[in-house]
Amino acid sequence: MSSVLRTAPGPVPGATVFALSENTPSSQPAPTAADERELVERLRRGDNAAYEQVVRDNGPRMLAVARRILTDESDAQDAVQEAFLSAFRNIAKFEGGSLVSTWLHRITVNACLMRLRKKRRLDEVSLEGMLPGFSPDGYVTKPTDTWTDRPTSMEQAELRATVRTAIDKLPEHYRIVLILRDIEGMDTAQTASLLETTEAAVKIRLHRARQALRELLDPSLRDHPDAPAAPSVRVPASKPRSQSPGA
Amino acid sequence: MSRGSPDPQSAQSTADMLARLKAGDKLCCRDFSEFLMAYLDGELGCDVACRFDQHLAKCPPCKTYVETYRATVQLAKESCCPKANPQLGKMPAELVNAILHAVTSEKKCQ
Repeated sequence: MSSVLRTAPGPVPGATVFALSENTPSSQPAPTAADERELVERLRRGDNAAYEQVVRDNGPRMLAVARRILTDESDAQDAVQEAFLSAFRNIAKFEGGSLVSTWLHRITVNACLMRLRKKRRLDEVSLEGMLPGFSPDGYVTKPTDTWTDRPTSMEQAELRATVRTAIDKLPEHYRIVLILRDIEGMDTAQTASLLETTEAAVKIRLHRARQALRELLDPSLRDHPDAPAAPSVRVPASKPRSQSPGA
Repeated sequence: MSRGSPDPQSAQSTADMLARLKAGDKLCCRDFSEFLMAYLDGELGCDVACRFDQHLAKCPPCKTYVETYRATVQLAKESCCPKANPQLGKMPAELVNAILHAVTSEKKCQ
């Protein structure tokens, strides 16, 4: 492992060694309120078994989130480790207003965003060329092709891979909003809070990200691949668009 | 983006579009595209939404655009869910051990 964070030399004294190599996101029933209270109390007492349980139950889901946000595997694993350490360090502040898993999800997203910020990958990048264009009077000049054949024209696995590749092509500034809103299922207010921006800016970025993703997918999914992509008339921008804060 | 495009979803740009429409301007495909998310989310007023409905009924390219926009959102969700990607949530045993080791080490230092 190349990470400076993950330096475990071997089994941890006092902690059970896990063999979770085949772990997938848990499908276990939701914990009861009493279970949650007990778990939090054990974490506050520094119970090693409680730490183990939390890592075992939530680690796979947190890693999945981190892998979606951070495309680098080492970064994703580091972010998950940071998230767990941060959560355990701050367990006294956990007020019980949400499930532990929800709280950990938010901490994980935060840890991932911190990494992106450090790498300045959330800086604004233009989507020029990835958005629909129109004739000077604002109209589409050629028919937009349908995607009705997509379930049969492409294998599901291939289709999903194509979509994931296209998402990864989006500038980070937009990709992250698409992931938080459309994939992680956060609402606009939560996303704005995590990204330290306004709800209006989140809405703008989400719409732009969806539009750009649609454009990126269109050549692969259109029913008539040989037909020119529509709209075909693109108006060259005479000057950069002014964007609202954070958009 | 094409020249002069407003920022969708901002109150000012929505108000500007409404004013243009009230002044007799036609709703063009660019307007439709710009405010599509607000339209689908039901955030446009009734007057504007009706104009969007009318445009949609007579503009096949925009109708197809809406369908493919919706399909895009659905595909993004489906393609990134753990069910579609069993590998996504696989957690290496080394990572679990590293996390627990780090937690234990931190406790000792406190």
